[in-house]
Amino acid sequence: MTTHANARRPRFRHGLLPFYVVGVVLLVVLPLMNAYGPKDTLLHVSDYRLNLFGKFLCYAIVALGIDLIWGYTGVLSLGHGVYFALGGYVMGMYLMLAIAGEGVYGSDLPDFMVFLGWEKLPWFWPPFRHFWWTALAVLFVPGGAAALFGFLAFRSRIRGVYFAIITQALTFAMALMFFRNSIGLGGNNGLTDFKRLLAWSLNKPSTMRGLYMATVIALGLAYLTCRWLTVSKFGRVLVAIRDNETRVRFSGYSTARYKICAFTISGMLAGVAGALYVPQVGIINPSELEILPSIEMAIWVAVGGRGTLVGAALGAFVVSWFKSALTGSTTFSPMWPYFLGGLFVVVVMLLPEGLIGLPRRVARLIARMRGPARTPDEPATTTSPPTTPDGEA
Amino acid sequence: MIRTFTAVVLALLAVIVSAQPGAEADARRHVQALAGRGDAQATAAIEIAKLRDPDANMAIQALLDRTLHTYLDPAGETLPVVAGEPREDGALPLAHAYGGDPLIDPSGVQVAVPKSALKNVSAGRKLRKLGRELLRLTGDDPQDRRSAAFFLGRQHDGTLMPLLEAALEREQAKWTRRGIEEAIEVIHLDSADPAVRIKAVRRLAVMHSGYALSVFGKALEAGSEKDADVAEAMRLAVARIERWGIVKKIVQTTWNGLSLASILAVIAVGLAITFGLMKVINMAHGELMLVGAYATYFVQVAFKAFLPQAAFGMYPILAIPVAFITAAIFGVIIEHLIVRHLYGRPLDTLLATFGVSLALQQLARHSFGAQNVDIASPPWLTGGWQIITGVVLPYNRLYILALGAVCILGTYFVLLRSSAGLRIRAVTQNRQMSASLGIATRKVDRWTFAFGSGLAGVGGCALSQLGNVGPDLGQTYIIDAFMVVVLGGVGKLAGVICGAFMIGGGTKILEGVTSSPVAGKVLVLVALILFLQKNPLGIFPDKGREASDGDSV
Repeated sequence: MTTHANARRPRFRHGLLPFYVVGVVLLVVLPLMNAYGPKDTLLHVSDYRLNLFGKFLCYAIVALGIDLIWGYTGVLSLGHGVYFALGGYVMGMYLMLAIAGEGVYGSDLPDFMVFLGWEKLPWFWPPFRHFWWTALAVLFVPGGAAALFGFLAFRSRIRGVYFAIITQALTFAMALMFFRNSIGLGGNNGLTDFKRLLAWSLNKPSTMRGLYMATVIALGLAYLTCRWLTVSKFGRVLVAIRDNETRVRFSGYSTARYKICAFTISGMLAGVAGALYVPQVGIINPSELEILPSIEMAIWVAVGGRGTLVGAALGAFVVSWFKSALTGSTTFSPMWPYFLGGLFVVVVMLLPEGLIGLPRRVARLIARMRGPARTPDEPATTTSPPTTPDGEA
Repeated sequence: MIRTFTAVVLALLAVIVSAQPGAEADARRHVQALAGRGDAQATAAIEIAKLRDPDANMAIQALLDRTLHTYLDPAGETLPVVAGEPREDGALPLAHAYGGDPLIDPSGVQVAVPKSALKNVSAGRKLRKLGRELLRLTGDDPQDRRSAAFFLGRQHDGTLMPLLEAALEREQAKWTRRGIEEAIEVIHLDSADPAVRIKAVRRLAVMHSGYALSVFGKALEAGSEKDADVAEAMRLAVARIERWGIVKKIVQTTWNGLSLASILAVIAVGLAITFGLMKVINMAHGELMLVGAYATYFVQVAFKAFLPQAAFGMYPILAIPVAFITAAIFGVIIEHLIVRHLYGRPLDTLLATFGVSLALQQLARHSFGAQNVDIASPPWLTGGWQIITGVVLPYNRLYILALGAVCILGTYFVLLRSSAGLRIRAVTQNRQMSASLGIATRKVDRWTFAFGSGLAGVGGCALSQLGNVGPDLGQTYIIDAFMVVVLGGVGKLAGVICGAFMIGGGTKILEGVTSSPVAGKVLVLVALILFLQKNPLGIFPDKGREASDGDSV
């Protein structure tokens, strides 16, 4: 369905102007409005709102990763919450150790360990005293997990619905594991009560602004990386795998390797997003690992538009904003599951190209109303051609 | 004067007519003591239980109901009485504690006095518990008699021995006999004679008594057993009972695995049929189970409201077709509104049906509340069947097992013995060819989807007997059911059954070995992923060309 957008080979440098414009607005204008905008005017962006945007932009990074593996490669993962949470926990461990001795109990151990009566840190904790180690781990822990799982899954050619279900089961199992105290990551409550990141206090608006800007930069880099990947030969192969994996394999490509690679990058992006998310939100706990958050991530991409990077990022932003607006009010909060459920159905059935495809769809609709006789390029809605991205089961 | 005389004559007559005048006098004496205070009360309760006189038992019951009082009658005699419900003027009508006959004053009217004229017989927690168990030992329910014997044995009270021996003599039920014997031997442990003690220890070892294990363990640790032979016997007994514990655990684990497997099989069969046919995973399958469970709930409520009590036991049977049809209707609606439009796009179907699942869950939460609704099991589904010492198979689990077997057999019949099944199999194997041969494939899809949904409903109906029907019911087993489909493959129904047994059994076995449910689940998943390395299409792969090819339905 999304093949049309990629029918012509795009160039990396072509059409980057909107990217720069949006980048400047997000990176420069909004923080300036936050810092210097006169209060109670339209020119002011509150700390709360900037923080909210920072969260949404983290989601947008995850969405880019999911788009790479789903929109471009045709592999639906319902378990990206795992990689997001892994990145988050890695960062969380660093933040916990950064305040050693300042906890409620004044111990060098994080509070929850004192509470559990532990004498020393579990074996994997101590290296996270160092920021450089943490920074590496943010990339390589989720990346490694994704690579391992991708290797096992793609090598044995698990795909389509099978793959989606197994990722979901994996997420479920991880959630069960992280809920336990014994694995040393805070159990039910997760990691929280952070105070400092490097030298900056996490209570200050200026630190939050800095984190927000870091998120914008990370998103920009993620976008450029994905864009570079998708316009390269690598990306063309991914799209080919999506459209007909068997044919690509017969042409001599090791499709599993391409998929593992894409999946690993996707997991890393989710990990980075998680790491940026945690200091901004102030907590990471196993609820991120439950089934729903992961599947919501997929729906961001579907809403924005699969197979278009801008669409994925946009979808994450729009859906999360909507959710936060809706769940913020007590009257509409119980309606959110209906709305989300409806969104799943509507997007899949009526908007397979997402928001990005909406203008073209509307244009086509208008064209059809004007001249109902000729609809040559009408995509099939009930019977799909064999080359749909999801046609493989 | 004449009246008193008549009363005396009547009383005398009654004494003569009654078969065991001495026994009745004893009983009256014990009831009197029961209404007294201190340790005498407990002794009296035991003596009363020994008599097996229903008239005397009424006094114990009154003690438990807190209606047993003492009444100082005008003649200056203290009588044990049972106070009835207060009358309009606040006075309590009195009855004899023994036999429950109304207490008649000389004018022939039932005595009724204000509460202040009575003295409540106090009974501590211990005495009440003892009284309750004594009554249960002579009750009608073998299960109750058994637990009562168990309780009495643990009192280590030698005076209970005749009571238990008498109970053993008239007991018929096998496991209750065992329980009483165990209680007797436990009491024998306190005997002064080492020979009796050794015999008791050996008997308890043969009976694999779990309680004896802890008693022996404590005695050996504290060194309180002075006789070397007895201590040695205890050591042997401990070893024997512990060995038995392993057997018990194996039986229990097997049963748990079987039980989980039967649940998973019912759920996964419906999933697998639709998946095999349409390459569609219905993420709302769990919520269709929810529909079935709530349908069962409504059937139960209707039985309670409109039918006599005697018919209540039949409601689970009627609930099965109701749950099947309700869930099937929901399934047809989902198929018609959503799935039908997404053929050939399995991942999109997965997302859309997940949306349906979210909405249905929330709908359940809105309509019935987030709390579990109360489903009462009929009497024939409560309790359990004891197969060996320490392992009870609950009837509701057995019922689910049977229901699972019926579902599987029914599905086999439909798929392999009916013309509808022939069509389903044809379309599953080759859709285009079936269509060219004149099979209305879309119709087959719809009815198959309805059938699969109906099976989910029956699954929900079965689960409702486990007690917790709430909006999250569907989520509990659905992931495991997906795993079963992935593991079993979609080629054959046998795959689903095998898959269910491997996942269900594997989960419970690993749970037992690691003694952690989480580790069990995680290890099963890891095992599954490793298994798929060798057999990516499950145990029974679909042999068709489409299965290995990126198929296009």
